[in-house]
Amino acid sequence: MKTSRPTVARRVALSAVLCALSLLFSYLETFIPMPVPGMKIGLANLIPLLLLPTLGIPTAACVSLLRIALSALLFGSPVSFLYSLAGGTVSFAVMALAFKFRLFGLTGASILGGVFHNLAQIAVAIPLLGTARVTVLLPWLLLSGTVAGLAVGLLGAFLLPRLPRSLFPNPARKEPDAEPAEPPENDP
Amino acid sequence: MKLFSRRESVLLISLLLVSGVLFLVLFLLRGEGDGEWDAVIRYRGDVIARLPLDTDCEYPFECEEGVNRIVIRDGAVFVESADCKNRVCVRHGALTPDAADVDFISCAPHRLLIVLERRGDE
Repeated sequence: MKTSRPTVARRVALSAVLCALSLLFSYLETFIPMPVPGMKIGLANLIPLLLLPTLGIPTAACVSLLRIALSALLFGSPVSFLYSLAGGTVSFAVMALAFKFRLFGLTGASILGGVFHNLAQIAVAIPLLGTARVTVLLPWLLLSGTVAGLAVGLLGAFLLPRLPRSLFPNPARKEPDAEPAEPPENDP
Repeated sequence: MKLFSRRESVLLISLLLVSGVLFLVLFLLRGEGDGEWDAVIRYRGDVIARLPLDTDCEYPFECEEGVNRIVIRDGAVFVESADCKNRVCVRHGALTPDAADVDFISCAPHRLLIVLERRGDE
């Protein structure tokens, strides 16, 4: 059996490149117009999502946290850092748990991540703005978190089997409600 | 790996249902716009100004985080300009008494919040 686990150096180098890519996503996203100001897709979360089944939860957590810190340093303010940090940590924790305990695949984990990202940001907004009135945003943020998480999750689930095996270890894990093994689909 | 499992569609549908119910609650909570209203401006949670909505005025808000030009015109309050990066407060547009119970203008970077309150409340 051939299991070539990447060396530590390779893992670090790969994580750094992916962290940069995630940072680029979060920057590019600011140019995508949204119907409601402040709403976003969360494309940067695609990278930690893809790292969950490949390089593992600790690596994915590092990349996610580092991306948030760098993003705040480069484009943000101390207050925006608090929002992203709350959203990022809570959403990552939920995604990692959902994935680790095989509750959902990548898509489900990403939906939960999107929803909890927005819930955490409301929770932070209450003390920061000093009023519980922001909870009226709840339906908007629940809906947008669900849709955005779905979009990123589907993209991630689509990309996962197409990642280069030389860089990413094989995602060896069964789906929560997987059917008996199907023959691998052959792309023409 | 499957893109979308049955369990995930259950999750998706239930989340959409919950947000639908919340939208309905929000819609039912919309109050009447009659009466006299004040635009209440809060910074870091503290009320720093209470401006009558029936008197046109301009209120330049300044704090250590930045500046927002708050304007009251024709019974509505809006932020004309701001020096923050995302300018969510400016793009929000005008806040009118019809939506007083379910809407507000906020500038998260400056920790500024504008809500409408019925005069005499509080």
